[in-house]
Amino acid sequence: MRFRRVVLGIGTLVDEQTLRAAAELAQSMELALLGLFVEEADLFQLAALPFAAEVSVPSARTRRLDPATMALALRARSGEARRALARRLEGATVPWDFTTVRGSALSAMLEASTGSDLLVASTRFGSGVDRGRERERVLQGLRECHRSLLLVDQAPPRAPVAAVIAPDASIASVAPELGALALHYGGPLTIILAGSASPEADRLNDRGRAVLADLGIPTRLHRVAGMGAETLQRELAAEPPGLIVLCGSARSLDAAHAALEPLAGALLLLPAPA
Amino acid sequence: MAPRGSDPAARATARRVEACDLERTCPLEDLAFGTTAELEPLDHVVGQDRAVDAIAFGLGLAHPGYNLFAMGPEGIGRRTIVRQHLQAEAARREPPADWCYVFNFGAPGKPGRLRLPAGHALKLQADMGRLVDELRLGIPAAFETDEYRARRQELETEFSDRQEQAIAQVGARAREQKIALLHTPGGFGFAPMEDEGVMAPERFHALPEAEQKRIQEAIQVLQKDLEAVIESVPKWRREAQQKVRELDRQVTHSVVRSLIEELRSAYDAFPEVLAYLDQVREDVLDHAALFQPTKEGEGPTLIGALFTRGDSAESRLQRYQVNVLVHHEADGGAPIVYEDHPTHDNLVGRIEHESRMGALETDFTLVRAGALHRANGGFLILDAVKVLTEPLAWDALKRALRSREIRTEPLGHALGLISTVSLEPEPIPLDVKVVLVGPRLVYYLLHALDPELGELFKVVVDFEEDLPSSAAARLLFARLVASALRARTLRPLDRLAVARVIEDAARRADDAERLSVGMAPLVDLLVEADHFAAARGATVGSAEDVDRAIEARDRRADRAESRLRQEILRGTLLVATEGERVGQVNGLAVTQLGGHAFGMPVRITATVRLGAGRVLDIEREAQLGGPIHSKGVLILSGFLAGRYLPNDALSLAASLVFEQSYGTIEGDSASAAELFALLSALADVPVRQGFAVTGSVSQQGDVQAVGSVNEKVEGFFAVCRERGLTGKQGVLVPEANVKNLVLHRDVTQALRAGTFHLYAIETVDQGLAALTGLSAGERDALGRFPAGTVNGRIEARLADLAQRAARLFVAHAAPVRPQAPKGPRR
Repeated sequence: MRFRRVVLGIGTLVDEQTLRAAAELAQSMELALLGLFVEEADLFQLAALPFAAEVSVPSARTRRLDPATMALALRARSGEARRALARRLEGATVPWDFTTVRGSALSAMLEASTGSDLLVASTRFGSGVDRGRERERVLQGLRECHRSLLLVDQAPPRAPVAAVIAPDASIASVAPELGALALHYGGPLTIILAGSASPEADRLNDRGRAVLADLGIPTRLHRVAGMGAETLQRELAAEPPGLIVLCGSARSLDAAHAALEPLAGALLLLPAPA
Repeated sequence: MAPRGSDPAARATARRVEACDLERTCPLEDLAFGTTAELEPLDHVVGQDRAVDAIAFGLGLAHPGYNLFAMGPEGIGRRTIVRQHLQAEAARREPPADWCYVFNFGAPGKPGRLRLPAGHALKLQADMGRLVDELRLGIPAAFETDEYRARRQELETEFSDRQEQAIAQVGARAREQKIALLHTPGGFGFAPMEDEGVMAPERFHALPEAEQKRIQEAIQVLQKDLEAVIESVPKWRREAQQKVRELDRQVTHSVVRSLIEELRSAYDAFPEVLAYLDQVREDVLDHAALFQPTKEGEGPTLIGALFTRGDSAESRLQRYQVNVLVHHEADGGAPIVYEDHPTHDNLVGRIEHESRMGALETDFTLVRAGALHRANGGFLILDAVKVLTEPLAWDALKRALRSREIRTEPLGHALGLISTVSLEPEPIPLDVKVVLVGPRLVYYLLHALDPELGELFKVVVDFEEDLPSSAAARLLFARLVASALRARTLRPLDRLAVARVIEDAARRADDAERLSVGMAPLVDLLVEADHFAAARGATVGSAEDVDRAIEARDRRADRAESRLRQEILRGTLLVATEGERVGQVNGLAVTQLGGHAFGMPVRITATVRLGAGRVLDIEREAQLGGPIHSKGVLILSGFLAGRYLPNDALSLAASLVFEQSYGTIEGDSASAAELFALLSALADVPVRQGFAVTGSVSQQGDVQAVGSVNEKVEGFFAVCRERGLTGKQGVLVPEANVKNLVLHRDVTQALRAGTFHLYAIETVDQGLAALTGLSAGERDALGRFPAGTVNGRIEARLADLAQRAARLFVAHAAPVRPQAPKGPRR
């Protein structure tokens, strides 16, 4: 698998950490970058209601909303996001563009991207407050649309990187991308392998590790017996928080979802190899 | 007219001053030594008993206000003498305290002072530097432990979870009522849900009215709930921050305690330092983040920033520095400070600023000491004129002495011109003895104009310019010379050379009976004589070396004198040195250029005619005459009227002028010459041009002493010598000035040879006789001057003028007679 473009999804909350991750990844992988500001349709629906109001932060006072006010506020946010991205990419050699679309956060990103794009978004992407439900919707969408997504937490990146790869064959296929991500997050890279070993699996793993070694990234591999939520949670808790890469079947993703819920850090979701 | 003789001295009643009367050579028998190397150096000051007593008195009194004002002319050695006495006193005293400024943790704009015994300030400064270095290593290490990180993460997560959960609970309650909680650009909004999305407005309007109302009411309740949650967030943040601070304090305390205790034990004798260290400990506990390496700012949480760390920690650590304002050696004495440039800031210290990001900033480390700080506990020597001419310096000095504390504030603040916020360092208690050095005039003026001078400078140290010359004084002076030579490692002088130096001192005193004690010119002469001795490879300086030094000194400065004399000799400036002329007398003027004074003859002429009794001073009319000169001329009118017409009005008009004089004339030393010119014109008696005159006159006709008589005599002598001495030339000087005569050797040699003469006069009549060769004349039994005498001629001329004036008056005052019939006009 080779990424051809980075698509950065930006919602109501403009998160500097996510902008930075997308910009650095695009540069390190030498990929074009598309900044995609999504004006969520739900917000316009809200503003069009006769009693529409907003509880302001930090004044904690309720004020009236209408579609024009909402459009104005979102346009201001869009401009703010564009300027922030431009600052991040100042002096960069990679081509980049910025556009604003209206729709639902996830579907807008899926529509604007293809299978060869690496999607980057904040864990707070979207207007919904319920993070669990948001994450669930994202995972569901990815399962259906075969996309790679890096979810960035607002906490600053911390090394080392923990990665979970399943099945084994994926290491070799995504090694260059892992390398770029590991460089961004400041490696070394720890790879937790799920399932039992086999000569073929070892061969593929060795090949992937060699690719990472060529990139100058020290890699540590260790294997866990199964992909159950409890096992994963235990293994991940032993690692310092950082990037977590998930790649695999719907079953493994579901397990990972349960395991990752209490953990902070970035999450790279890769589609299962064909 | 009385007969005129050929020898004016024989008939003159003026006293002829013989060369032997002017033998001013220092008697060698007074100097009983071979060279100055044999003399004991002088351990006390010569001729300044009054001043020395005053210094001792002032230094002995420790009460406020007993500061010293050392007054006297420049070059007399005031600073040296004062410093010598201060050094002796300072050596007996204990060194004063060291002073530091430290950060005031309670009021950062008011740096706190710290007093330590001498020699301890620098140590404390170094100790505090080490403490900060150790804290910079120890505190980050303590904060890098897994235990701390985990605990801090817990607290941060606790806060983050608390607000997220509180909002999520509102969201959950909303969801139960099929209402969505959404992030909006400015906060949060509630909307009814339909199929996992927000209900479209048209769908909402299609709902039954009761349902619409229910939803709206539910949302209003939820909004209130959310407002309450958001209002609570700042409080939760404060609580969380407090917990983090407590955690930081606990972690920091483990590092700080032992380090501070170690310092406390080293300074346990100094309560001020212990109190400061306690403040430091508490501040470090509260500001442990300052010791952390700078990190990038942490990301914002759901609502605003969480725990931001200062990004200027490096620069803020300087709050723990110690600014050593002034320090002393533990085994040294009291300080003696001479401030050569006593500006306001150089006296009371200054607050410097640094440019940071285009703005000028300051802090306690930029407070700098002034001369008062450095001299505190000791002595401060200042030049009075410099203090008075620097803006606000005098006021600042008085304020410090009066309040007995040094308050450092920017000059702009003192002037009230700048009102920006600056530092207010805690004032430093002041205990200093100030010695102002200045001219007498400055002291007297200041005393008259500033009442505080008397309160703050109670001790006047009045230095003498000279001392009476006697055998003992001359030997003492020789020892002074020996001391000066030794102090500057110059070659010793033989006794003849010392005699020359003493003669030069008498010459500088302008008095044959006194010796100048001015040290600066004395030392200059010794250094220059040593130069000539060195040039000829001698190990001992001789009289020739001293003479060459004096000649070279005069030669270097006499360009203007020489040029003026040349113009006289070339006939450009008209001065006659032989022959006779009516109404014309050689006066003598002295010019001071730089440090060189010289005398030069100047022609004074007078004319008389019928008038209203006024002597016209042309210099005054041309605004070239000073007030004293004008006074001298006015006295002449008084003399004329009083002596010759005591019962009648003067009816003359006279004009007096300094010919070819184009500059200002001041002083009354030419008033005798002016009177002689006037009397010559009145009497129509010529004056001998081979003579020059100096002296002032009284209304009674007494000739009075004047200044710079030596330069005047030598100036006329030089012109006569250049033209060739005739034996009929000389100078008339006031009898009272004879004691001042210390003339160059070539003049006394000419007197001895009879080629030049000097006459001492006490009265105008003596001068008239000497200048005219005629008897002045005394009133007879009838009260009239004899005819033919000078006075008789003058009296007759004045009487004649008076009669003419009376006739003229009668003619003008006569009644108008009937006029004759008009005839044809001619």
